[in-house]
Amino acid sequence: MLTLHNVSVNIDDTPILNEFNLEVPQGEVHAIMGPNGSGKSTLSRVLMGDECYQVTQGAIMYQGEDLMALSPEARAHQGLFLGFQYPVAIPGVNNMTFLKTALNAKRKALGQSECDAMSFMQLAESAAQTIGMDLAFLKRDFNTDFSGGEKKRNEILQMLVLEPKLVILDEIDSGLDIDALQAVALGINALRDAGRSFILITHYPRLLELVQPDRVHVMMSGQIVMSGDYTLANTLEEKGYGWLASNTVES
Amino acid sequence: MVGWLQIQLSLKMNVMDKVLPQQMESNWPEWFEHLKASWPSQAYSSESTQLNIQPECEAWLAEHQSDEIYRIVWINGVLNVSCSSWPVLNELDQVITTLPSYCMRSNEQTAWLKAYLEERSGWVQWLPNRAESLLNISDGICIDLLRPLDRPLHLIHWVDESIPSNHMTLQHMIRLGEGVSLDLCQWSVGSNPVSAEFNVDSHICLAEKAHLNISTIQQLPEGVTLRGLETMCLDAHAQCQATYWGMGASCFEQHTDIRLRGLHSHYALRELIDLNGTQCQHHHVHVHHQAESTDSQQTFCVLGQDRSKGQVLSRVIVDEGAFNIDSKQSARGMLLSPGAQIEVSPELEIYADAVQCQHGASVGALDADALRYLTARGISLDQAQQLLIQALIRNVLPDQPNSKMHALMMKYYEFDEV
Ligand SMILES: Nc1ncnc2c1ncn2[C@@H]1O[C@H](COP(=O)(O)OP(=O)(O)O)[C@@H](O)[C@H]1O
Ligand SMILES: [Mg+2]
Repeated sequence: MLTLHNVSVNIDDTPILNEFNLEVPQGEVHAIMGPNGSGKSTLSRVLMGDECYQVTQGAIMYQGEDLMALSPEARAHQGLFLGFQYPVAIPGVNNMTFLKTALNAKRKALGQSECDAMSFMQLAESAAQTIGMDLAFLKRDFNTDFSGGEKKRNEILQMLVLEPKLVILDEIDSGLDIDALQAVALGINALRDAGRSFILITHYPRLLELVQPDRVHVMMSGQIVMSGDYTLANTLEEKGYGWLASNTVES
Repeated sequence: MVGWLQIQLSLKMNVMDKVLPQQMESNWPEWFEHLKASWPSQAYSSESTQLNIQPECEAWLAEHQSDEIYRIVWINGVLNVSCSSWPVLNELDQVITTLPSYCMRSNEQTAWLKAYLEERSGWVQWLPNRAESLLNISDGICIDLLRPLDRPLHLIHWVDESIPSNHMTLQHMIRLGEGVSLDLCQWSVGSNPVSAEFNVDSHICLAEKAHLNISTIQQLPEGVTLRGLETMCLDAHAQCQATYWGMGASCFEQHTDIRLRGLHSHYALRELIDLNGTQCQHHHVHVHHQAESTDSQQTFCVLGQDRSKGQVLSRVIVDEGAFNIDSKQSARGMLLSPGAQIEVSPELEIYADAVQCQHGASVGALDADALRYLTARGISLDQAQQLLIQALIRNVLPDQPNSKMHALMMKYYEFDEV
């Protein structure tokens, strides 16, 4: 599904990712953990095509194609979805109008017919129900005056409606209460299938207990320094990232 | 722009579909006598307005008696129309369209209208030769409404490319009697570039409990310089809801002076200025709270593209002794091109206690984070920009969702509601 080979990324000439390598096969859920500032969000932004980040070397292949050749919107059309660590609020833009615009932009790009207002509402409402989101949120301005947890739920709502093939969720579980965390996990598990891959960026084992990833990677200073199964998350919780400094072997 | 065409079409439709010939009073000296005779006896006293328009109106009428002008006056609920060289269309008392006669010469854009009118003439007189020699023209409308009108009144001011380089002054006087309400739509529109200079003065007086909804669409062609002066006095419990949508003229300078002189009077303005090319617009608005418990609300949105310049200087003045004032000013400027310039500056001048005045202003480009977010969701940059622009415009859409202006703005900015 996704392969990064020796990818280096700079921000304003400061290297953030250094010869980064990662392979996420189709149908797998991978978690990326790592201390603050290790470059996890940078990785997600680069995958989405954010122009603030300069890719100085390496290759990123998505479904056998060069991802770097695609514009951000084309990546979304091809099934890439990034759940942002800090989703923006857009006052004046209705949540539903936005989501319908996004869905129809994707359908149009794929040569599918546009979704009419009626069937769109059904789609959105059933997605909201899956994650226990109050329908009132659909009618409000996009993320405007939403709490942190409500914004994250709204990211999951979009994910469910847009049905992406590769989902990257950047700290989707930060700042969530227990109910919201379960709603988010429910959303992820609802979409999980053999054709779809996930990259979950997180600091906490709790989400990983609910989702049970296939692999857990630990990232430090712009590189993956250790990989393992989901029990690695618990080990890290116990021992901290300091433990890794002397222990950077692939397990 | 595509939207420009939509407006023109809808205007034409408006006039073509709806204009009906109507009996009209064309004996104008007699009509003038009638007007003069009826004024002093009116229930609504001019003393209750600061502007005291009666002498002004009379002087103005006397001065222009020999000129080629048209006038529309409402007297005790009866519409009186007088027209010499100016064709006046009267659509079921609703639409009054004025077109300078010189615009009518061999002009394809307006030929249809001329033909249409002539078919029904008998009441429209054309004096094309006379008009050619006129370089300074005065014109105006005087509306004195003493009874409610259950339909909107449209004033359409059409500027055409056949206008010779000239200078024109329009003077409108509008007075609403006690408890009278009026929906007034003003259109200043035109088609191809012309070189012309206009002054438009409007003096509006609202008596107690009068209610004016005034929407103005201004989309004059390139080459037009427009200077506007608008004064308005509001007596106790009078209300004015103004919506302004300005998209045109090469240069436009407007001064608005609002006087809330009666208790509990209320003024609200929603203004959208949408500029491109090298257009410039300046709007100075003064809202003067002269009486207790008055309130005002002003919302401005300025969009600047290319190398355009937009400026909104709004000021709320609260007089000494004017208690319990509520005023809000908010102004947003959106720079859509690096070469555009926008200045918005809401100001306060307060000489009283116990007032509640809010003001906020910001000028900037479209939110880059929001654009990045929207494109990451598969929305093209163009469409993402449009969504953000719509979000801004939403703040200045007319209050009444059923109004013509509301519908036009929704269409022009391609709002797609779920
Ligand atoms: N736009 C930016 N400008 C400058 N530095 C940045 C920018 N974005 C991220 N960084 C820096 O890059 C490093 C990695 O950041 P980030 O990818 O957000 O880390 P993580 O998500 O792992 O906490 C940090 O040192 C951060 O300060
Ligand atoms: Mg981060």
